[in-house]
Amino acid sequence: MNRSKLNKLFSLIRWEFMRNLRFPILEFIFVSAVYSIVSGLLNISSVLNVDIKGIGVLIYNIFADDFIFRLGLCFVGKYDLIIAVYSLLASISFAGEIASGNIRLLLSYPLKRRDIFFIKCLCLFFIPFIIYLGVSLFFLLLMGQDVILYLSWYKFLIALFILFIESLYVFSISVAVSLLLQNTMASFLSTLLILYGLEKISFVLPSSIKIFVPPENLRIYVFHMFNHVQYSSTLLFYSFINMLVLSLLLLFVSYLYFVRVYEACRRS
Amino acid sequence: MVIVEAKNIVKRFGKITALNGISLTINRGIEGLIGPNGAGKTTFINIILGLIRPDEGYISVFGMDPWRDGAEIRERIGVLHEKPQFPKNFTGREYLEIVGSFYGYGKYDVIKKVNKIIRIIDLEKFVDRKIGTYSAGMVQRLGLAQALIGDPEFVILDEPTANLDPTSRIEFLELIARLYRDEGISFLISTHILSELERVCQRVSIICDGIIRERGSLIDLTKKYVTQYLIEVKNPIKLYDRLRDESIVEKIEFYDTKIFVETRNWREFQKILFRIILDNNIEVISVLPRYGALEQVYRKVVG
Repeated sequence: MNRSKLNKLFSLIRWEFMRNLRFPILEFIFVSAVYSIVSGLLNISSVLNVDIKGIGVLIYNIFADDFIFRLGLCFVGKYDLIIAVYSLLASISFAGEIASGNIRLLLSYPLKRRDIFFIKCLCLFFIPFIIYLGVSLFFLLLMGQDVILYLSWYKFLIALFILFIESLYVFSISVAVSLLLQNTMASFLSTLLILYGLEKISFVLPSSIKIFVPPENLRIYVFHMFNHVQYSSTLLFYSFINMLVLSLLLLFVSYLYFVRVYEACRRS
Repeated sequence: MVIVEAKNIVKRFGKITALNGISLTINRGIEGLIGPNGAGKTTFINIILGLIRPDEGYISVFGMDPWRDGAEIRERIGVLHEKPQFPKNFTGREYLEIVGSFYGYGKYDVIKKVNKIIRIIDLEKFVDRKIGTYSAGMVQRLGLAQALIGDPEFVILDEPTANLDPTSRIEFLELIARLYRDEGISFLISTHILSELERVCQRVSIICDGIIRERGSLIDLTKKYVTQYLIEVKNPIKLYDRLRDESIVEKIEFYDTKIFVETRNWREFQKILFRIILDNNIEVISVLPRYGALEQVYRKVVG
């Protein structure tokens, strides 16, 4: 990749930060990450009758393995917040920029549609993911040296994988809805409606189907991986592969639409 | 050199046909594109930039297909859109720097380019302020600056002076003329303010209902369409009496010191007019097309 191309890509990243990841969006993601992880830990700990006198006490009272389990579970438990974060980001960056004419402005410069889509997805998907990861690691480090020694990194990666797959699913739906509606508020509300709707519908589904619907499918993963409940490997495979395929398919369709079909003009 | 070549371009938005078979060749120089609101000017510009795809027809810009090779074409084109919405939380300098990097320039090149453009466009006073605080005139200047930052060969200006006061409008047009003269940058100016084009354009295309109704140099179009003239003299009654009897004059009116004449043969009328003026020792103040030449052309073509 030549220098000129790199300059273009970095300037697009800078644009995303200055336009769509500025105050208070980034701060909101950070607060949601801290809230998800801390409240997740507190809720689970209270169920387990751990004597909590403060976050510090809690953190020092739990074992590394349990912590990772709790981390994985709280990523699933805070599915609603992840929906809110990604719906907001996709609505602002895709639908908002289309509605305000900023995409038209960007496409009037010598930038490839492919690069714009790629950089937007990269920034919007990975920034919250990195923030969640950073906050998780921060709490891990707070637990001290002993925890690091006992920690199963394999399980930690599983917990991250759960966050990744969950985020990808929510993100892909948010992007597709944003490109379809091209209106910030309509996209945000529609994405919330679709994702919360799917989540609520899953409660009335028979348990044989329910385990394939997010976030229930991820919950069985957490329980299985941390040896609380045993599930067959086939079931585990199918419980997440549908989510992965759907996410990648939606992102691919969104990409094709943006690069091959989308017309950047006011009348559209 | 041909910059844009369009043949039978058709573009529909649902049931609305925005372009209905436009054929147009744009060469180096300053070209004007005029037409009423909704005539298809902006749609045509969007097609040149590769922002939208024509439903039918053929278009090439610098020999490339704008939909397929849009990014390569836009390396050589600068554009100022109608009512540009630049991000309000950027300062003018930040925005120009980021646009410079969109053209692939490194950090130091961008700074050099931005400083040069700021000087040319005269942005020093407000370039470090947030764009949200700019007046309409400042936004237009910034718009021209961002269009020029990539050293384009061709610049498209869509209604460039719509928000400017008369003084800024004249300065803006003078700047365009200077950039063409000194830097060799070609322009396509889309506007419905006809007096602007008369000042700077070499060729004009009139677009209406999605087709090019007329095209040519200002001189040719004036010869073809301008029939009404305004003659201002010190002694209008004497001139009015003489001209009234001339068979070449189709219509004549006079008001105060001005005489309005309509004639289809300007060359012949000129000879008669100057003969009368010299024979009768009439002091002439001005002889001009009534309403402006382009306005008459436009009225006759668009109807």
